[in-house]
Amino acid sequence: MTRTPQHHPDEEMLAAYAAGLQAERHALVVATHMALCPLCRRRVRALESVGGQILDTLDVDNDAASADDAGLERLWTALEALDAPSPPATAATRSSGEAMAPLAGDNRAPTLPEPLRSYVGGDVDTLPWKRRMPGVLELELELSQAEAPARLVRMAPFIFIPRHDHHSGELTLVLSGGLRDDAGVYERGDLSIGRPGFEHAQQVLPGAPCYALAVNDAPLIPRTLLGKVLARITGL
Amino acid sequence: MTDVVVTRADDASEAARQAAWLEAVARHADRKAFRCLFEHWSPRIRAFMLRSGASQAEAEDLVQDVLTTMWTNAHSYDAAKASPATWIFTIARNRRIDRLRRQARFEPDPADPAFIADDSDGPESVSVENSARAELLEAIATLPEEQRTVLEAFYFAEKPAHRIAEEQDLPLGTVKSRLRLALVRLRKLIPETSAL
Repeated sequence: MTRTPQHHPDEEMLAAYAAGLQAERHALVVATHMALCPLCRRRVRALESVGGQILDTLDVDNDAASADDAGLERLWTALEALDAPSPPATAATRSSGEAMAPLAGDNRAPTLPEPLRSYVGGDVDTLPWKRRMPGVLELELELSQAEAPARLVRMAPFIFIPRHDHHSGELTLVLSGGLRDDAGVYERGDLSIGRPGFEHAQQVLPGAPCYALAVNDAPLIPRTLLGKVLARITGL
Repeated sequence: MTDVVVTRADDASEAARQAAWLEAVARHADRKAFRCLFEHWSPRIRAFMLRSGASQAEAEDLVQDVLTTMWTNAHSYDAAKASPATWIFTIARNRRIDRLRRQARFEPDPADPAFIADDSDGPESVSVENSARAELLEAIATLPEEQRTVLEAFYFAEKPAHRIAEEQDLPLGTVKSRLRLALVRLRKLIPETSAL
């Protein structure tokens, strides 16, 4: 049995994803978690079907539509320009796109699942990492909207992240290796949700480096002197 | 809501009818079937876009866009995976993300080697799916009006909870808890193993 994630996005995050209301970086986190989590895919499908039923049972003037011959005429004209139905993928499937192939001869599953891998342009071995501090590499993600940055981090085993609070939300999706905090152990696919007022210290589990996608709405609030000094040095 | 049972039976056969129309469009570009889909869905998609903040012209454009996608992608509709309403909702939602929010839509990719397939993703008993769907329909039909209102506003109006609160002259906490109540109530009724 493949291990599946134990720490999930909450109901409101999944509902906002299903309704298409999330900020882009949060949607990226949820979609990447879903690639590893059949349970959340089923939950999202259920929430999409709620959307479908609400749309279907919306109170509208049906007679107006039957009379909308002009609209239908315009549509036929547009469709005739397209040929018969047998087309390539369009908007509905566009974003899932072609999977970026893993390296030839490599049978391991990529560390970064889709849609994250295409989004950052490759798997962890090929990315232009920048050293943030000893044992920590980072890659800032560019997003199309002016939002607080999201980043990929690679942390060596035993790296310790001092106790900190959160101004707003901090989402940490573990992609490889493991992280331990006050609430438990986080491994591949697990999502840690740091809410304002939630304080934790984190440590990378021994054995392998930990890759994670981290999204902050605002900078962390360090709670210890060490954390404050590190924040000054690293900007974390 | 006094006619729950009637609604339920109607909706189930309505979904089957619409699935048949989509199949007719996919198989032989059936214009009569497509006209039926147009008449049912265009006012709903228009209302959806208008309430999401589209101008009248944008909404017309998006209606055309969604219906064009329904025509060209009808072959990718899979009745075992989703009801026609769910499929059409996701198309409309994606067009809204793309055109009104100008964002990319992120989805997992089942063809990705890193994708963890669902042990229960395989073909399942259709009768289970249908009964789950019927239960969901009934649950939505019997939601208290106040929960239905916030749920509609959430899915369609693309308004953050604080705007809904302002417009309905309610405390923010009330709107948030109604939304949560509605979602939890619906989720409890949806077996997590079934496709809807």
